[in-house]
Amino acid sequence: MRAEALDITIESRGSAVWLRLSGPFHDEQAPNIKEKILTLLLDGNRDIVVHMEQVTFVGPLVPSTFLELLNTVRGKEGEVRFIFRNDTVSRAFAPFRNLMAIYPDEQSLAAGGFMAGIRRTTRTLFRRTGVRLSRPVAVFLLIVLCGWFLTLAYTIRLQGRRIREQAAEINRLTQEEKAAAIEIERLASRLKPLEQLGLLPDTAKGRAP
Amino acid sequence: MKRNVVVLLLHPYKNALVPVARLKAAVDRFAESLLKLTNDFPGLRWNLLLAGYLLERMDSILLSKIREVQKRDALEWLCCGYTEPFLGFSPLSLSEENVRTGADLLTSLTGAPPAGYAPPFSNWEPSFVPVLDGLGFRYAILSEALFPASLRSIRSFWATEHLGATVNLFPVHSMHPYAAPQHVEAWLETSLAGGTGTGVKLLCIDYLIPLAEADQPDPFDWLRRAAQAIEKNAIVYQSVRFDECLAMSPPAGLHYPQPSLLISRSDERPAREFLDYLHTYDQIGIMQRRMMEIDEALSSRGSSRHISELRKRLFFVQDINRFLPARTHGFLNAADRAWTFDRLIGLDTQLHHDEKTSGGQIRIADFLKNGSKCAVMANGPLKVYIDHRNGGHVFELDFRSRNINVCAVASPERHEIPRITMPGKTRTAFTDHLIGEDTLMETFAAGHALELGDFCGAPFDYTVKKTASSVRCVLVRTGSVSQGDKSFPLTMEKVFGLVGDAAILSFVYKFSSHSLVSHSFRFAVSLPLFLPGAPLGEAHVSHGRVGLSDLLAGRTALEGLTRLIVGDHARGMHLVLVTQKPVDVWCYPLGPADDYQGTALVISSRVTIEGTAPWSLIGRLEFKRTGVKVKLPDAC
Repeated sequence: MRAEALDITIESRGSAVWLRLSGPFHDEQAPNIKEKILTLLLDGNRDIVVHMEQVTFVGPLVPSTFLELLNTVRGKEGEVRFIFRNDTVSRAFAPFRNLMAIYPDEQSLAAGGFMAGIRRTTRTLFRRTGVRLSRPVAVFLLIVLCGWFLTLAYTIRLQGRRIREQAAEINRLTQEEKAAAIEIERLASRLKPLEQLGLLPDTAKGRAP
Repeated sequence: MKRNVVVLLLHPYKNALVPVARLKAAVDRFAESLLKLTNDFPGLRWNLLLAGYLLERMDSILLSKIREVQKRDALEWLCCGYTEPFLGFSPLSLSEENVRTGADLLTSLTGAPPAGYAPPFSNWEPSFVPVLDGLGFRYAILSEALFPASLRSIRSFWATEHLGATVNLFPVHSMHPYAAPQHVEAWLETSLAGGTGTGVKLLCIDYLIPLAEADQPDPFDWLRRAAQAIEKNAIVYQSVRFDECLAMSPPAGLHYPQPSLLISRSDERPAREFLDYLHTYDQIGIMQRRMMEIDEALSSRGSSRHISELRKRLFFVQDINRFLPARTHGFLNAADRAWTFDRLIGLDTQLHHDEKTSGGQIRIADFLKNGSKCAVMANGPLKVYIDHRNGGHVFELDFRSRNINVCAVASPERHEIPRITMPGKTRTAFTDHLIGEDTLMETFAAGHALELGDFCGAPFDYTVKKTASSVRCVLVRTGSVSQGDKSFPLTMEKVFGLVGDAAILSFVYKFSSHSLVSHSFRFAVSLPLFLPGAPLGEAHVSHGRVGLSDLLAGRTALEGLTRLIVGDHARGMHLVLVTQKPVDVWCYPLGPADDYQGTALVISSRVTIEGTAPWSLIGRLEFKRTGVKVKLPDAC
């Protein structure tokens, strides 16, 4: 019977319950799987992983069933994660990729953090563009990029220092000019009475052309 | 004048399991006899068929001397595989791997690839022709019983084809030493005289040499007489290798043998519908499905050294001798069956450890390959297979710590139609009977108890539950029970559970009635147990000081107990039955004393259901490891 064509394995790994599905997943089987996951939820399981890499066919109603389940599980503060990368399942779940946590394989599920994110991005970009860099080339390009950034930062730092020195110089000269102007004015005011008495010729007027 | 061609094929074989040390000695004895024969008759040509695992065990000095014979073109090797794979009963990929491994081994040990292929017991599968072609075999040999009389009389070899791949076929006359004709010359003359072909006549003799039987008459006697007869009549006969025949003349024509099998190596009539025939027996279907399950699991793990080693161990389980009905070997032989399950469960346990799961696993799959699902629950020490479509019975219960399937009890009665299990006839565990309250053990054991319910063999609805530390399978059926002339609805719910990694199978039975009528009957749950220690006197059943140690012939009926111990010291297992309320237990042997198949344990209890109040029975089977008194010999 079509409803009985799907093989299901339920096992625990750490704190998560894994459901491994294999075979054709027809629409008639969707209520059965939904009931099983809800039963797991009732039994206290909150972290559920559905492994669908061995699924060979996906009925049209299956993704929406999982979407409903996801809402239910999240409502009970749980999470459902999916593992698959085969074309059949990927195509069926494509409209919901942004709503579901989908991993290409078990290793990427196990790995968390920054590096796992990098790896996922790598795989996604590879699938989209078809371009893949080997590790030595990637490391070399990374070194070159880092070198560029470091050089830029160093240059900016040098220029900043120069600007600061010049600003300090300008400041100092401005201060000296002001001090000199004040001194000149003071000396001129001391000489003015003697000029008014005619005892001192105005040498500045004499030299003027 | 053209001489008639005689091809002599030496075919050492063994059917039953033999301890490795004894097998090695037998192979070396055969090699010494072969060398003596080839040295005494240096002008004759010989062909040798040897399974890879037998060649591996040959003394290296003897093997190097045989290679000398091969170098002077006096000897040609044929291959059947690393073991003797049952082509019609195994996945094609596993058979291919088995044959490839055997061919590679022969090539590395003999210095030349095997020229021909010999399907064990002439188990021919046309779909294997492309595989043979791909592996480079130039010909295959088949018993002449697979050729119609009109083709046999032509006394030549043939070509066969499947999906564009071709291979040559040599019809061979198989004979055992005890059935070999006394007057060789007359027999040769008669065999070749009647041929209707116009070209050179060909007679291929597949001489079967039993290994590991040192006290039998020397099988090489007849070979010497045949060799002398051929040498004496060198004008009329020439002995050649199979490969030389291919160069002498083209095949006489095409022949398309159907899938077939010889139940015995020298049978003269092939079994055409052999798959139907084999599936009328108990246990063989379960063994085959286990083998396929393990092969699928190995294939999904990719290829690595570890997986290759495990697959090589599976080749021995795939051997055709494990799957043929015979008294001394095969699935009808209790020791042979125990060995097969030991290997299967060992491989399965190894794969389970590699998975690193915890807290139990439940799988719903078409394990029996009959279109309906089974529930398979497993934890570290136990694995339980439940068929919800046929009475919710347990058809396999593995105690992994000791590699025992306690449900491996075969019934001598064949099924009316080919089936894996026959409800009510196949001796599976947790088969439920509703019988009269006053039914006695003897009546039940004889199969004459009046069945009041319709639960035995009927389909149950099932659900599975999994928590972090346990797995459960809940089976429910609303059937009926006969009371007098009337039938009343009755619901049975039974639950099997495994907790954590404990070797405990818990079970719960619950009856509930929807009518207000009271019901009274005796409820009997049948638990046939396979205890390999029973024929050795190392198994017993006991309750306190009361017990039964002669399980081959003794019977006992114990009343009002909540605890019972079943011990098998040979295999190091104790099984403790614990129930919440007192029950009666009947214990009697299944099969005659000289052909022990198992011990029946029947848990029975009077049931009275009044109104809608339910009745329940809670119990558990605890498995414990004890010291092993009789180790399974390292045999293959």
